[in-house]
Amino acid sequence: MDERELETAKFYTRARRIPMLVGKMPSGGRIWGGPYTITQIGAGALVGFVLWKTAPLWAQLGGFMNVVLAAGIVIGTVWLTGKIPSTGRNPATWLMDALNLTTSPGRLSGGRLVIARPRRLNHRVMVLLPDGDRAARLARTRGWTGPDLVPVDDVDQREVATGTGEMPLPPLTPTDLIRDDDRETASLTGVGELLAGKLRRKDG
Amino acid sequence: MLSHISALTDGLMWTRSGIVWAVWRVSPIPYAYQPDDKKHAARRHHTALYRALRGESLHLGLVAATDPVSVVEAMVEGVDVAEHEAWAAECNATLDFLEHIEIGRRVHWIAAPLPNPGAKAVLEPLQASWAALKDQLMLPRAVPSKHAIGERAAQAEMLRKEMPSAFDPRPASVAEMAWLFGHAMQRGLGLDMDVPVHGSLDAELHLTGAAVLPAALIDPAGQTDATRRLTPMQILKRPYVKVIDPEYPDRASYQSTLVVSDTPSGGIVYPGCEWIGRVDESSVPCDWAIRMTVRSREEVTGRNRRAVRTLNDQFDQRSEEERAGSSLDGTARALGEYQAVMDADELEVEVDATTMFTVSGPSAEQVLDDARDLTKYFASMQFKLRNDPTVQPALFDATLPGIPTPRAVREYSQITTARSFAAAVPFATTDLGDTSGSLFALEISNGASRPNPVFVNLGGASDKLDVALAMGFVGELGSGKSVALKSVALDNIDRGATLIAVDHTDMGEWGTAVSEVAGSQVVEIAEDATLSMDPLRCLPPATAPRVTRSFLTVLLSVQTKSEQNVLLSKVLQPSYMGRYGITSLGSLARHLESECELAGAHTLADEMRIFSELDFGRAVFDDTLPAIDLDAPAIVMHTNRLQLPSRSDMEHSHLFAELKAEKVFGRAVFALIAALARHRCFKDRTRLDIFAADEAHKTMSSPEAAEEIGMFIRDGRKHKAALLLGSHDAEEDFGNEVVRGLIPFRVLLRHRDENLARRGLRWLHGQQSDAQVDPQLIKLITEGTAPVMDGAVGVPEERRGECLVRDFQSRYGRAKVLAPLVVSRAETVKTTPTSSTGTVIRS
Repeated sequence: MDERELETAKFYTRARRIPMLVGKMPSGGRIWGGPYTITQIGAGALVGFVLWKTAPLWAQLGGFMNVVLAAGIVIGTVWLTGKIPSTGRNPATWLMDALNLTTSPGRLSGGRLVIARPRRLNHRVMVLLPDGDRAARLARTRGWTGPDLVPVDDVDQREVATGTGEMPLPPLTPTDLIRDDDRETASLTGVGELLAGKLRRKDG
Repeated sequence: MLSHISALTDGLMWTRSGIVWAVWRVSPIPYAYQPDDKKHAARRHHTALYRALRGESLHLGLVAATDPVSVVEAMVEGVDVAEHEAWAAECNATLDFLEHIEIGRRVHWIAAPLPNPGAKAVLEPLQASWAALKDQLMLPRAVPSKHAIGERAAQAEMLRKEMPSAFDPRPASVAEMAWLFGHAMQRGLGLDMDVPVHGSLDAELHLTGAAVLPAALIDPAGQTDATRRLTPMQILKRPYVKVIDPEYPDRASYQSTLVVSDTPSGGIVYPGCEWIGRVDESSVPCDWAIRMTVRSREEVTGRNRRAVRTLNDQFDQRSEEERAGSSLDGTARALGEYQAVMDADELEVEVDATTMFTVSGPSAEQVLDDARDLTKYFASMQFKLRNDPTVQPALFDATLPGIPTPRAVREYSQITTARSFAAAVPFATTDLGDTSGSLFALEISNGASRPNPVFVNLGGASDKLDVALAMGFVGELGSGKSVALKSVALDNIDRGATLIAVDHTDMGEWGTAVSEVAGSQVVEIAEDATLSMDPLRCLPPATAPRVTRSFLTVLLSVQTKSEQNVLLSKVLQPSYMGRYGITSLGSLARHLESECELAGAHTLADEMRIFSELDFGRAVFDDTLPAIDLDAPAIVMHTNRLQLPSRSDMEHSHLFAELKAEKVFGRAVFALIAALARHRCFKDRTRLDIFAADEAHKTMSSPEAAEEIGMFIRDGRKHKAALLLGSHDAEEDFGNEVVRGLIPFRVLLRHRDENLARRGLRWLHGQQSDAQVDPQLIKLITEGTAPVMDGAVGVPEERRGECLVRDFQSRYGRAKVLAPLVVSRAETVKTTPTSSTGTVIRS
C-alpha cells in the first residue's frame, strides 16, 4: 500500500540546441583532425589572421620556421578552444562580456566601450494616481510638488519634475535596527535556538 | 545611468524603449503537505497559467520580511489592550521574541511586456525616444495620456482574465512596484519593510518620499571595495554585484544571481521534485526570477523541423566521429519525443525559461557561501546552477520588470513544455492560519530558516469561513497536546474569552494553568470539594430543572416512560420547587425523603442517597459548599477521581447492569459538565466561550456527554462557542464521524506508532479509514516531529511543539506550537504530568 503515482517532467533543451560541429569541407572532403566547433574554427581563423597581419613584428625566424611557428600557434589555439568546458553559453559572447566587465574603458569590435564603474542607477519616473487616491490627495492638500507625483486628473498639464520635495511624513525606522536588550521577558527560546542552529533538515 | 522606467501607474509601467509592462501581484497556491489531489490541481493551474501567457513574461518570488510590529498589530486587532493587560504583556513578549528571529514570506509577481500592435510597433518607440530627448533637454516631461492609460489598462486586463483565477492576479499598485525596486536595492540587509498594503500609511510613505524608486549605485564585482585596481582575473573571481544606496554608502548589499544552466537529463519526478516551489527547503534565503518566453505549438513545430535539418547536417558533419553510437542519437531521440509530446496535446506550448536565484547578504563572503550552498542543493537534484561572473549586472537587471531581457539570459534559457515546467510549482505557499488573532505557532514547512506566524482567530476569522468553531489535537503522550490546548485557551482568555475545561490529570494541570487568571474557579469533584456544581444552584431557574432532570435520569437510570420520570418532572417544576423551597439537589433529596407525599418519592430518595453519600458526591449534593459562578472567566472541572464505564461496560447489558455506583456517577457527571459547558458557552453570542476537553476519550465515554458535544460542535458557531478536543486517536476518541469531520482546525503531533500515525494522518486529511497515506508523511510524524532523542535528553527544547496542521481554510503545513512567551505564563502551561519521553512521572 501507500504507493503513489509518479510522473517524469523533462527538459528538451538538448534536443533543440544542437552543438554545431564542422567535419567536412563544403566540397564534401573530410577536414583533417575534425570535426571542429564553430568556436575553434573562429578562434583559429582569428589567430591566423592576426598572425598574418602582424607578421613583420614576430616573423624573425626565417621563412620555413615562421610558417611552422604560426601553424603551431594556430593549432594550439584550436586545440585549447576545443578544451573550453560547456557552460551553457556561447564562449564568444562570454568572452565579450568578460572583456566588457574587465576593461574600462576598452575597445571592442573597433568601437569604443565606455563603462562607468561603478554605475549609478537613477530613476526619473512619473507616477499617475487615480484622483481618489489618499497619497495623491495628501500631496495636493499639502501643496507638495513632489518629484514624481502626478495626479491623473492633472496629466494634461505636464508638470516639470522638480528637485527633492519635503518629506510630508516622517520615515519609518526599520524595526530590524531596533535592538533593545534591556527588555525583560522571553529570551531566545526554542525556536530561536533552532534558527540559530539551523537544525531544520535533520528530519529529512 | 538612468533606469528604463519612465512612468508608473497602478498595474502598468512605461519604459524608455516604448514597451509598456503590466505588473500583477499573484496569490500562490497552498502546496507542501497538501494531499496529492490538491498538489496535482496546483500543477494544473500552473500549466494553465503558462498556456495563457503567450510571449515574454517575468515571474518573481521575492522574500518579504515580516515586521514583528505587524505581527503584534495582528495580535491586538479587535482587542482593547488597555482592558486586557495580560494580552498586552504577551504581545510585548512576542515582540521581543520576534526581534531575535527573522520571519517573512515569499511574495509573488508576474510582469509581462504588453504587445504594441500595428502602427504602435513603430510609434511607441518613437514617442519613447522623443520623451527621452525631452528629458535630456530638460523640457517639461510628457506623461502618458488618459487615453493611453485606459488603452493599456484594458490590454492588461485582457491578459489578466486569461490567467487562471486560482492565482488571483491583481494589478500591482505603484507602492508595491516601488517596494519591488526598493527590495532589489537592499536585499539581504534585513531592512525590508513588509509589502505595502494598498491605501495604508506604508504605501503613502513609498509614494511620498524623496523619490518613488530609490537610486542605486551598482558596482560589478564590488570593485569599490578594493584598494587597488583589480586585475581582470581578480574581477572574474568575484561573481557578484555590490548595490550601494547613494544616501547610505555604508549599507551595501552584495548580490549574486545564479542561473540554471543545465537540467537533469532524465527529467524530474513529480510529485516530489518541485524545484522552484520548494526552494525554501534549501534553507538558503533567496529570491527567484524566471524570464520566460512561451511559444505556440505551431511555432515550436517549425523550430523542431529546423532542428531536424541541423541534426541531419550534423550526422553528416560528424560521420567520422559518430560511428559507435553518440550524443547525436540521444539528441535525435529527445527531439522525436519532444515533437511527439507537442503532437499529443493540442493545447501544449513551449516554455523557454531562464530561472535565476539571487542570494544576497551584507558581505561578499556570505553571498558566496550562500551561492555555494544553493548550488549544492540543486546539484543534489542534478540541476546545475552557474554563477557567471561576466553578466552579474545584467542578471541583476533581469530580475526586475521593465527591463528588456538581456542577451545572456536568453542564452541560459531551458526549453520544456508548459506541463513539465509546471512541475516546478513556483507559485506555491505554505501559509497557514488566519490573518489575525492569537499567535498559535510558527509555520516551519520550509524548515525553520524563515518561519511564518500562524494566527488563530477562533472568534473572528472562522465566522467568515462558515466552519465549526473547533480545534482537535491528536498526538501520543508527551507530544505536546496539552501545552498546545492550554496555550490556545489561555491566549483567548487573555483576549477576553471565557473557558470551561475538563481536567482529568492527577496534577490538576489546567488548574495550575488558569491560576493566574483572576476569578478562575477549580471544581474538585472529590471528597475535598470546595465548590459545588449543583445544576439547581448554578443555573438560572429556566434551565436548571431541565438539566437537573437529565442529570438525575442518567444517574438513577430512570426510564423515559416510567413513574419515576413522571415524579421527577413533577418535583422539578418551578412552581413546585418554589412552593417547597427546593433550591439545590441536597434540598431536593431532603424533600423527597421527608416532605414529599407523591408516590415513589421515598424510593427515589433512597436511590439518590447512594450517590449523595459517596465521598466525591459532595461536589454535586453538598449544599453547604458555595456554588460555582458560571460567569467566571475560567472554570476547571477536575475529574481525575471519577471513574468511567468502559466501552464494553456500555455495550454489554449484563456488565451495564452490574455497573459500580462510582462509574454511574462518573458517567452522569461528565454529561452534567458537558451540559453546563453548553449552557455557559451558548449564553452570550457576542463573547467567545471555549469548552476544552483534553483527554477527550474520557469525556466521550459518557454517551450523554458525547451527545452534548455533538450538539455543541453543530451549533457552536452561531453562539460563538468554541470546542477544543485533545486525545491520542481521533477515530476512537472524538466521538462519532460527524464530530470528527466537523473539526476544521486539526493538529497532529508526534505519534511514534506507525499505525496511529497513519490513522492520525487520515483524520488530518479527512480521508477514509482505508485510504492510502504518503509514507513520507508517516515517517515525518513517527520520526521527524518533535523527536525523542534518548531517555536522558528527551525532546530537545528547540524541537518541541512540532506538528502538522490543517487550518480553518483547509490548508496544510508543518508548524511549531508556541507556548506563551511571558515566562511565568509559560511555566504554568508547561507543567505536565508526563516527561517529554512519554513516561509518567507521577501517577
